[in-house]
Amino acid sequence: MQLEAVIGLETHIELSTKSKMFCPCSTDFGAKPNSHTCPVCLALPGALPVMNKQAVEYGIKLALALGCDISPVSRFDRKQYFYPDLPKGYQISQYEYPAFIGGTVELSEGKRIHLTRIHIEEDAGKNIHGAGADNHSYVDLNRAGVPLLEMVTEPEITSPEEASEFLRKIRQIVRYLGISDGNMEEGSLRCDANISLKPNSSSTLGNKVEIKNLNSFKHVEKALRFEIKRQKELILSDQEIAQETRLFNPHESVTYSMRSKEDSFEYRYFPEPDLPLLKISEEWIAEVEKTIPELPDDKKTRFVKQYGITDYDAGVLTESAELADYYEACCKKSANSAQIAHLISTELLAITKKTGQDFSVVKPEYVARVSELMDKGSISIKIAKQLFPMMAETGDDPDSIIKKKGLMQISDSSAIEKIVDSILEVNQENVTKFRAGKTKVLGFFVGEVMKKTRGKANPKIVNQILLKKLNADNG
Amino acid sequence: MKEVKRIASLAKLSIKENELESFVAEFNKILSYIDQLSKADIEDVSPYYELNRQDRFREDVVESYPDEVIKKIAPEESDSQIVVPRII
Repeated sequence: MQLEAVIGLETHIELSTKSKMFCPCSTDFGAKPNSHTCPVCLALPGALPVMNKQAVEYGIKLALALGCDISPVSRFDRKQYFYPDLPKGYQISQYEYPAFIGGTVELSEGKRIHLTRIHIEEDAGKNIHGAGADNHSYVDLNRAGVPLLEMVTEPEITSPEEASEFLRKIRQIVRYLGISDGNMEEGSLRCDANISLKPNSSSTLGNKVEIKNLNSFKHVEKALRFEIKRQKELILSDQEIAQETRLFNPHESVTYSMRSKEDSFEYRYFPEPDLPLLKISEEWIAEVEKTIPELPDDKKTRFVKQYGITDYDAGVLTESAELADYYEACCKKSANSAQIAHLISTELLAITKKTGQDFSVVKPEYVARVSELMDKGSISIKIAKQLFPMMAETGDDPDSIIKKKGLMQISDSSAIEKIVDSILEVNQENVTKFRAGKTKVLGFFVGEVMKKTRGKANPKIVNQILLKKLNADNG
Repeated sequence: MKEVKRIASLAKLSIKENELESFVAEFNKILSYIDQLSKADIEDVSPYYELNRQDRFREDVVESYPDEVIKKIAPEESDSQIVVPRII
């Protein structure tokens, strides 16, 4: 029996507003526990929530970027549950009437994942549980009330890889929009996954399992992979899959049961009486629309067209808006945009990834200059490759490094001729081979010349001279 | 009776078996009181959520609140964290 995975994701995006959703407390990460709290987010009697305009605006931005329908009127509801991370005993969320409905996210292969909805809500606090003999839990409410967008997809994702690609795409888009740092490690992007298996001939879904709190791309993939395997084994041995909520254990890469459906919460939603309806006017939407930057997919398409670079390079360069801007700054300084794209994606990013530096340690004009020097024939690609680590380390410009290290390409024929002569002389054996028809040894000679000049000899001239000498003396 | 038990467990309250009966009676009393609402004729009345406070927003500006308040309301704290019985 062929089984197909059916996956839906609920993604929580923490917005990068300065203050919380319903009160003016700071949202800064990593502050002293409970220092960012006030009567509103501590749920003291009589305190009233007031909506953060910026948070709603960030929601509108994402809705516009993903083509959601924006509800002219939506409503906040109370979602009741008991847990010490939630001082009010309920979370202010949107249930019946979410702010944003529908929308799509397009993956790299052109597959479109449809969204059910995006709604606005507040985050809960954080608990740390005592270990061993310490039978206490410790509550920090700094995060309680931080604005979140919850995005729910239709069950259209069919593999763990697709799920993680979806999340990467969301991260890229929210970063482009500047509405969230999208940092999974700090919990700015969190995800719950719903998964079931169905025989691919069938249209009915099997029992659904929810995996909670997946906080890295790797965890999402691993948890789903484990769950697919587990459910497959149960189905193939004719066992029922329990409809339940499971947690992922990253140390063992397994999921385990947290609660069954019978224990599931009854959230007893009802309209939040402390807040007015959320009204989003056409005028407001039009205002926000003006602030939407060029999005990654559009930018990628434009780069391929405008700069004549490969689809792959364009994908790498539009990974972040900062890198894309950097590339365009380089291209303003020098015309060979394809070569610059290649230098950034293969040389610059390789070295900064290794050292953990930001790519901007090398100024855009320096990358442009390297490309220019290559075009002029002043340096070879080999030298260019050596320049990037040095530029990243010293922050110096390419010309002064070339001067200091004596890396200028040798294009002077007479100088190269001398070197060629000396090499031919000590390698008579190979000279004979060449003349006997084994022309492959030419590569050996080129290599020797490069070794002797530490890569500085102009390869074109080296080839010319070598061929001339080897062939001429043959006659 | 089952209903009362479930509500108690949702509210994390423990109710003794011998108390159940009296709670059922009290619940029924409250429910029948609330039930009066369902007798009201609302045929021509549309749902009302509006609080006459429409479009009330805050600008995204941070204001800090003195953090002694947490010390006053939390019975026990450790390194500024509120201490509660272990949850899991």
